[in-house]
Amino acid sequence: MNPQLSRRRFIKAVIASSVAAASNSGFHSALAQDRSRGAVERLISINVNGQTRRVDVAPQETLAHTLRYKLSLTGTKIGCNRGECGACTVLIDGITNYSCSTLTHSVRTRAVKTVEGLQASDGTLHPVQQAFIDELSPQCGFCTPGQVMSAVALLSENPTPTREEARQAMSGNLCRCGAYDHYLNGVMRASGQNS
Amino acid sequence: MEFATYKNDVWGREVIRGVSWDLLWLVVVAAFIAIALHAIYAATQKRAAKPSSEGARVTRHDTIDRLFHWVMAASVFALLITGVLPIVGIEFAWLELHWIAGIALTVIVLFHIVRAVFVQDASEMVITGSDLKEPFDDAKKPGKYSAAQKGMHAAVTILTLLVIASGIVMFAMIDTPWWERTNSLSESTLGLVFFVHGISTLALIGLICLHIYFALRPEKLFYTRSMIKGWISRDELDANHDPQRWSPDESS
Amino acid sequence: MASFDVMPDVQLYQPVELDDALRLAEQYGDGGWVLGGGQDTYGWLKDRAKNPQAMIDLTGVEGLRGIRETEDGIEIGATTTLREIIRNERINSDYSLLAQAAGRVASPQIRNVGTLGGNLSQDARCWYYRRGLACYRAGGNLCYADGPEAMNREHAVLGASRCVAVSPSDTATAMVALEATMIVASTTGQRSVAAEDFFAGPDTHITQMTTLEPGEILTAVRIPSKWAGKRFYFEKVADRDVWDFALVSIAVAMSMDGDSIAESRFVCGGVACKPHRLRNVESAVRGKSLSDENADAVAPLASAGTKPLNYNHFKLPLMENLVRRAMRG
Repeated sequence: MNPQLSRRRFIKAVIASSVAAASNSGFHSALAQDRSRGAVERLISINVNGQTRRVDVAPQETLAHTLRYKLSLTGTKIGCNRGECGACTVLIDGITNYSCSTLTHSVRTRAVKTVEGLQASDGTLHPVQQAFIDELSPQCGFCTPGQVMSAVALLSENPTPTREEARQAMSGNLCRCGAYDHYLNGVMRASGQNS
Repeated sequence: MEFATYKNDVWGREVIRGVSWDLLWLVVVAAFIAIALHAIYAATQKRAAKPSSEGARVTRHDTIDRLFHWVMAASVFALLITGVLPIVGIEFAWLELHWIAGIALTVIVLFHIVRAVFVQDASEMVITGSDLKEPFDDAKKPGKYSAAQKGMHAAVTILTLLVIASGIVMFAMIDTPWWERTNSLSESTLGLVFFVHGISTLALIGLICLHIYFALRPEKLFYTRSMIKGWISRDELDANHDPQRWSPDESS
Repeated sequence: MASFDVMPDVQLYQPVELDDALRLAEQYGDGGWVLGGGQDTYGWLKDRAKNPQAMIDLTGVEGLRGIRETEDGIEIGATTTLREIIRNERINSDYSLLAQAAGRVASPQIRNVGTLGGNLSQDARCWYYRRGLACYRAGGNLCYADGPEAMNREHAVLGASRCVAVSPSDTATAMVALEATMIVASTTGQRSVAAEDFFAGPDTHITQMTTLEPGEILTAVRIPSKWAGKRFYFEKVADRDVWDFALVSIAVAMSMDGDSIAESRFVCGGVACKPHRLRNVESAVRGKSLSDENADAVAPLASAGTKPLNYNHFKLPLMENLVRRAMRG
């Protein structure tokens, strides 16, 4: 509608496309141009499971994508990819997040923990993982990594939740097998309150 | 420059959505360039002596016709304000005002059609072969309406009928106190209706700019006075019209 | 993986100063997408239903976050997460209405990152619109949700004009009930607007949910002390307890004079395109006490003036019953 705006946009688009066309190493020129305009750099470090990982991340890339396809941490599952199912749940600074709905660029200064980072260095499983095995919580297992992460976050904040509190805390994770009660049994067992 | 905008319908097919409102600026700019060119041209011409408005008066427009003209002007402006301002970014609850003004326009246009056909002499407004020669022949003078006036009237008639017809279809597509909308048109047909409504609106905007300009030109101001007060002087008639073709009664 | 499952190519800016964010927002105009928690963003992009040129991530702007005391009440920064609001002591003690409303938003993971500003200015949930159809709200010339065979169980019973989408925000109802003021910034300055006028209906803003214009950013919400510590009632009725949007919700603030209601605000969500104030209920309950009889007496007023669509008549008794429950002793 605003002619001034659209003209400016048109000129910008022309500049952008001519830069891309004029340069074979499109990546570097795009990087230089973007940096001058305050846009994000692509080559970043992120802290995953206590390790600093260098990774090339597109501006629009989601954390789930980076974890699975760039860092090979495939324990984090992508279910709906719309922030509805919870299969991709990871901890960022100890708080549960849908990694499919988090931009990797937004976690540069924060600590990411995935299901791979839970077990001890000697291979001992996290109490939540062990409790889920003992309670036969998973059925098909696809939602399990997300369920585990939600339970870990809950117990680190509230070591002895009531079953209702656990239900609330786990409510952002769907299980299409319907094994919700088994997961809740696992949470209660992991908190030392035998179901 | 696109004349229309397009969208995908529910099947993913590209269909017309309506007129491209970027044309609005084009129309306004074009109208003002045309006005400027005419003003420059008119200033270079030798001006004929202005006929006196004193003396005997003849009736050009009956009261009822003058009333019609101004009511129509008011409704058209109401329609333009409520229809175009939201498009250029001035937001207000315009829809109800728009269709109420639309009904008013429709009713008075119907009244005018009936009156023009059955009461007035409609042939006064019909464009004939001799009208086409008139602008190029100084010796030829028009009847009641000049060739330019007839042309303007014909164009406005066609555009107004188009805008009313498409407006009635669009009116049926919204909830009103009398019916609920049905979504009964295909998306491509609906888009076409929106396009017709929009493009005739744009053309009307351009014509209205010209109409107002000519109404305010000094040598034509007496026509505007006649649309307000009803009369022109005998001198003005003699200077601009052919008494053989138009011989109105003297007014009181 | 289907290509629709990944994010499309779109530029990302992470300014740390509000001025930079405002400049970017102005520069990109309606091609810019201001990002809070992003929970109402990535779906649009992954579905290719919206196509912004650049995302402007506000979460790095320190000044936009946090809950501060003001001379008259509190101010909540726009990128304060719902999690922080739910856990804030001051809000829980004085404005528990907001804490309750925020606590019913979506799921724990979404509340952990979802921001107040994002929740307030989120887009409509009409699935015809979300599908990416070129409806009125998307700048088109028809509504797919209101026709003889359209599915409109979740849609508006009030205030529709061509578009029949409803306000999906749970915190919006609380903000209107608490008479909050929205602080909106742009490169040309700052304006404050009452919550009631911040949300916009389709009669005036058919392609927007709020009066935020391109280039403007909601920076904070100020809640006056007027309703601090008063009696509140919040209830959200949805198909599922988690994640789902309200079919109908109600946020009520009442200031009591002894046993009777001196002044009140009744605000319904999920029934109109913006939070809907039940003004006739508010005036009817003035001077009345909380009791089952009074509840029954005023409840029918809740659905006055409604105009249900084919599949959402159930919202009328729902509105009435929510008022009834708010009025019980």
